[in-house]
Amino acid sequence: MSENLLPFVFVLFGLGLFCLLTQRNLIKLLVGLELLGKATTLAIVWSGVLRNTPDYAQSLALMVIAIEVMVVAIFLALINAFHQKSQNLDTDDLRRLKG
Amino acid sequence: MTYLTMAFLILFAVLAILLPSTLMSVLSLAAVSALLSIVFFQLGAPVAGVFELSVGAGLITVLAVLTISFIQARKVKKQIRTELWIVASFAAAALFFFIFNTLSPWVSPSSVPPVNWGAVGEVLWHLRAFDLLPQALVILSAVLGILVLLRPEKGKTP
Amino acid sequence: MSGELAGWLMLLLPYAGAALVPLLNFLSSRIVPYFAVLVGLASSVVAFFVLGAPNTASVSLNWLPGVLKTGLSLDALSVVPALIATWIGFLVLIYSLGYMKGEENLSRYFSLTLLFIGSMVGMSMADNFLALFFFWEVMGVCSYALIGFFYKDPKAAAAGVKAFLTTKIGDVGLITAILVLYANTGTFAIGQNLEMAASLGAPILGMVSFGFIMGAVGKSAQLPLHVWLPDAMEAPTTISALIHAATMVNAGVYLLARVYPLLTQAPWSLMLVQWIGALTALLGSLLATFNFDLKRILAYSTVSQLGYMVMAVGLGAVFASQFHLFSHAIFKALLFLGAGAVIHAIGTRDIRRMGGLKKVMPVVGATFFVGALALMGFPMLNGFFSKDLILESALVDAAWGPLIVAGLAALLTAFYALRTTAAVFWGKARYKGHPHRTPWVMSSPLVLLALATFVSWLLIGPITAAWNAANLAAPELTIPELLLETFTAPAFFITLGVIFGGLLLFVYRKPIGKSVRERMPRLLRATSAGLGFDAVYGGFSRLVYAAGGFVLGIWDEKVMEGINRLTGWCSLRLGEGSRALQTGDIHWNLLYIVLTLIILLGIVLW
Repeated sequence: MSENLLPFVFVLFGLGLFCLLTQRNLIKLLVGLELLGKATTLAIVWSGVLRNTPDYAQSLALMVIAIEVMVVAIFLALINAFHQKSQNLDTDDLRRLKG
Repeated sequence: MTYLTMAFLILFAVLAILLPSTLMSVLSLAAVSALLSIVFFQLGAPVAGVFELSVGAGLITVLAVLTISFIQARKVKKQIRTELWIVASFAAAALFFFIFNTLSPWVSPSSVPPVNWGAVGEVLWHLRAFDLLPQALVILSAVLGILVLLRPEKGKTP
Repeated sequence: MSGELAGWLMLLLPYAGAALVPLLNFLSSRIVPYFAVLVGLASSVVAFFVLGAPNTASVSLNWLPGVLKTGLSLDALSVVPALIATWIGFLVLIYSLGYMKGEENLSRYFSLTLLFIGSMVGMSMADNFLALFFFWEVMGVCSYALIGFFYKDPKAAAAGVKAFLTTKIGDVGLITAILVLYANTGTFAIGQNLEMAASLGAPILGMVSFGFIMGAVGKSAQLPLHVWLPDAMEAPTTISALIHAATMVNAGVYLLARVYPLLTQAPWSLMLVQWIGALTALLGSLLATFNFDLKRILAYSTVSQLGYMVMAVGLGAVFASQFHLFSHAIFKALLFLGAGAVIHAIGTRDIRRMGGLKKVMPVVGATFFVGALALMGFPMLNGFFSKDLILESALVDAAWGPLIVAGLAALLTAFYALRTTAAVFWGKARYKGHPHRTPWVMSSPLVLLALATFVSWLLIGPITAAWNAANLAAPELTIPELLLETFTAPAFFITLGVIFGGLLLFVYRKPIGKSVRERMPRLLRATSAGLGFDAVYGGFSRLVYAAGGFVLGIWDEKVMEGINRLTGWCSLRLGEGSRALQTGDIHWNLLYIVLTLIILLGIVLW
C-alpha cells in the first residue's frame, strides 16, 4: 500500500485536544478523552505496520484499549457523583480547586 | 481504501465534538470506534480490530448511554465558551498538526503484513507477560474507584 | 635514673599533676594544695638527676615519622631555667599553702600553677622551635588565667587581658621568625637552624632576628612592651613571684641567649638589643623610684633587671646574662614572697601606710632586707657578682652609651631598694590594726631563699664548666678566679660608687624629695602615669575596637539584613504571581498540559 496514515493520527489527536479545551459539558470531555485514546491506538498499530511487527504492536494496542476503558468507567462514575451533588454538569461551576 | 475510512472517521469525530445532544455525541463516538476497527482490519491488525470494536463500540457506548439515561442530561447547555477561546484552540490544534506533520517523514509500508491470530496471544502472554501486572492493578483501582464514587449519600437510598 | 629520663619526668610530672588536680577536687577539695606541693616536691627531686646528664644530651621522639620530631636538649643553657622553674616553683607552692588559705577555686589555681611550671620546663628544654613556641604560648595562657585569677575584680580581668595581648604582639614576631627560618632551612630543630644561620642571606637574617627580638621584648616586658608587667600585679603575690620574677619573664632572655649565634650574624640586632636593655633598665628603675604601690615597685624593678640581662646578651656576655637570671630569680622571688607576707598581714599595698613592721614580722623584715641588698648589688651577695659581670662586659666592649645608662639605673636601683625596705619595715609604725604573725609555711621559703642569695654564686665553678663542656661561650671560672676577677676589675669600683651614691640619696631623701615635689611636679605626675605608654596603647586599642565594631555593624545591619529581606520579598512576589495560574477551571489546566506536552515533545525531537 502506498498510504500514509500519520497525518490522520495528528488530526485525530488535534481534534481530541480541541474538544478538551473548548467543550464545557463533562460528557463532551469524555468524548475528547476517547478521541485522544483512539489516536494513540491508531499510532501504535500504524507503527507496527511500518516496522513489520504487527503482533507486538497489537499487544501494546490492547493494553491501551484496556486502560482507556478503565478511564471511561471512572469518568462516568465521577459524572454520576457530580450529578448527585448538584444537578449541574458544567465545568464552569466546578471550581473548588481555585487557588 | 483506508483513506476513505479515515475520512469518514474524521467526519464522525468532528460530529461528536460539535453535536449539542450528549446522546448523539456518544453515538457518534461509537461510529468512530467502528470505523477505526475497520481500519485496523485493513492494516492487518485483526486482533486489535476485534478488541476495538467490542470495547470501543460496545462497552464504552453502553456505559455512556447508561449513565446519560441515569442522570438525564440530554442537552448541553447553550452557553459556549468565548469565541476567542475557540479560535485560539482551533489554531493551536492546527498548529500542532502542521508542525508535527512537517516534522515527520513520509513513509509508507511496503505491504500489509500477514495475519497471524495466534502470534498476538503468544506475544502477550510470554514476551510481555509483565505488562499484565500493571493492567491488573489498573483494573483493580478502577473497580475500587467506581465503588467509592457510586456510594450513596449519607441518609439517601441508592 | 638517667638524665634523659629525669628530663622527661620533669616535664611530664607537672603536666600530669595539672590534669589530676581537677579530678582530685571532685573527691575532696582539701587535699588539693597538699597534692600540688607533693607534685612540686617530686619534680624538684627529679630535677637533681637532670644535673647528672651529659652536657650535650638530647633525646628525640619521632611523633610522626618524617613530619614531627621533638625532643629535649639538656645542655647547660636549657637546664638552668628549668631548674629554677621547678625549685622556686616548689617553694612557691609551699608558700601558697599559707597565702591562699581560704580562697575559693583553689583547684584552678594549683592546676594552672603546675601547668605553668611544666610549660617553663618544656620551653627551656625544647630542642625544636615548634615545641618551644607551643610551650611559650601555654605559658602565656597560664599567665593570663592566673593574673585574672580573682576574675570578679574588673581590674584583675583587664590586667590579664592586657598581659595576654601585649605578649601576643611579641609572639607574632616570634612565630614569623620561626616560620621564615623553617621556610629557608626546612627544619624546626634549633641546633640545625643555628648551624645553618650563616648561610642565610642578610635580609632573611634581619627579619628573623627582629622577630626573635620582638618575641623577647614582649615576653620579658622590655621597652616598648613593658606595660603589662606592672598591671599584672593584680595576680596573687605568689604568682607574681613565680611567673613575673623567677620564670616566665626570663623566657625572653632565654630565647635571646639561645638564638645568640644567629643574632651575631646581624650585628645591628645586637646593638638594638643592647640599647633596648639599657633603656628599659633605666626606665624601670625610674618608675620604681617614684611609685608607692609595693608590688608595682617590685614589678618595675623586675623590668629594670630584665633590661640588664637583655643588655648583657646584646653585649655578647650570654653567660653573664644567664648568671644574673639565676641570681635575680632567687632574690626577686624572695622580695615578692616577702611583700606577699606583708600584704597578707596588713591588707594594703600602699607603702605610705606601712612602717616599722620589723618589730612584728622580724623574719620577713630581715629576709626582705637581704633581698634588697642583693638587688642593689651589695658585695658578697649573688646579685653583686652577676651584675658586676655584666658591667664588666660593657666596659670591655667599650659600649659607653649603654654603660652610662645602666650605671644610672644601678644608682636608682640602690636608692629605691633602700627606700622601699625603710618605708615598709623601719621607722615609725604608720599602719592601722594588728598584723598577724606570719605562719611558718610562709616564712620558711623566705629563709631558704635568703640563704640562697648568700651562696648561689658559689656554684659558678660547676656552672661554667658545664657551659664550656656544652660548647657555649663562657669564661672558665672557679671561685677563687671569680673573686679575683671581680674585685680587681674596674667594674667593681663602678658598683661601689653606685651603692655609695644610692646610700647618699637615701640618707638625704627627705630634702631631695621635697625639692623634686616643688620644682618638678610634672615629673611626678608623668611617672605615676607610667610615662604615657599606657595611655597610647589604650587609646590605640580603643580605636581598633571602635573601627571594627563600626564595620561589623554595617555588615550585619545593611548587608545581611538586606539579603534576608530580599529573599523574603522575592518568595512572596513569586507566590502571589503564581496564584493567578490557579483558576480552578479545568480547561486551563488542560491547556497547561497541552503546552507542556508540546514543549517536551519539542525538546525530545530536537
